[in-house]
Amino acid sequence: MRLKKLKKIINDNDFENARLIIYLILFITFIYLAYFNQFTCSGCALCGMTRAVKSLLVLNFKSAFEFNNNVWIFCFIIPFIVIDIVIIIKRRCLKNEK
Amino acid sequence: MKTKRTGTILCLVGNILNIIGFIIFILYFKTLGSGISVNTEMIVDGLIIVIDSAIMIALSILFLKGKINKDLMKLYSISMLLLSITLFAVLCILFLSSVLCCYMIYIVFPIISLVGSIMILAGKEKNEVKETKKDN
Amino acid sequence: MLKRIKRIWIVSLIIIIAISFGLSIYLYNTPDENEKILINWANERMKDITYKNTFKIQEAEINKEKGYCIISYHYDDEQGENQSCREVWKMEDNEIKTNLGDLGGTKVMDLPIGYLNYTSDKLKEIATEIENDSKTVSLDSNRLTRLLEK
Repeated sequence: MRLKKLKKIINDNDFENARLIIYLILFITFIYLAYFNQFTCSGCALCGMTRAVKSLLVLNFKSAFEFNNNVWIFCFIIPFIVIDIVIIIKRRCLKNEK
Repeated sequence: MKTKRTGTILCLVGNILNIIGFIIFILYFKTLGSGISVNTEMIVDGLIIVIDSAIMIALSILFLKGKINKDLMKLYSISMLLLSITLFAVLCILFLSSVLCCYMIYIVFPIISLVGSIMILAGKEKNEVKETKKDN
Repeated sequence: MLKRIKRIWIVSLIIIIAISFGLSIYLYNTPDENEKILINWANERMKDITYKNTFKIQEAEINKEKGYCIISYHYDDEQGENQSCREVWKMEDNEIKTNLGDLGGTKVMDLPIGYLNYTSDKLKEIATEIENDSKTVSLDSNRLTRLLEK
């Protein structure tokens, strides 16, 4: 029952729309931080993270982990986001075809 | 109504991430230090942000459960917008002050909330939709 | 009933927003206790500097319990050369009073009697102790620079 309820919430149209908008905002923010902004290193845990994620997106894992060890979090988050977007768009396309 | 609902979900998610993010932020600096002390401004602004976010989460949950009737809908929309603008402004002031460059990532969560609140304000209510259909 | 709810809601909203903005802007513009101590020190220190606008604090760590603070700052002297200092200062009565020495440099301090045992090794020991002490407060250099400019 709980699983069914959870599935219903996840597949809810408005929740899917909200997720797509969040992913779009995150993408725009990443582009801005990675390509249009300059950071000075203050020695915190997120130092080098934008460079690490940039390397991760081109599948250069060696330099990604060199820039920041904590980039392993994005090794899970990025595929999750991509799969979610693909599932939502596929469901929408199938609905439109029907 | 769909737009309002999507906007509410955006506000809910944005503010939950905001609270979690800020708690991790403050805990990380307090426990590990990392050369930057948590000063009064960070703590007080952090509290303001957490309280604002909590209020927005409560209002969002009330809306999603259908507890906000049509008479209070306009007030709800305006409140969410004002609260998200306040949240965004307070975070901007905090980051301008301390300029923790990389923590600009925390600006994303209030942006999500702001977009959500704009959608809530822009969204038409059920009665408005029915009236426009009748007019047409 | 509905009117009452609306009234309470509007009043609460106005109070929350006013307090949020008010507190945030007040804290942005007002230095706290430790920052006030450092600003007073900086104003005194700047009296000996010709080009006051070149004075900038890079790091400041205060330990009120032990009565020491470590301040890194730089400025341009009369010849236009950049002078960079990382000094240990002694605090008395919540004020930064005596310069015990430069951690990076070889300046000979004209210290009063009682402070003569602060050799450079002893200074480094004090500095390491202060840096690793949990009661040491590290101040934000960006805030200090902004509050000093006022």
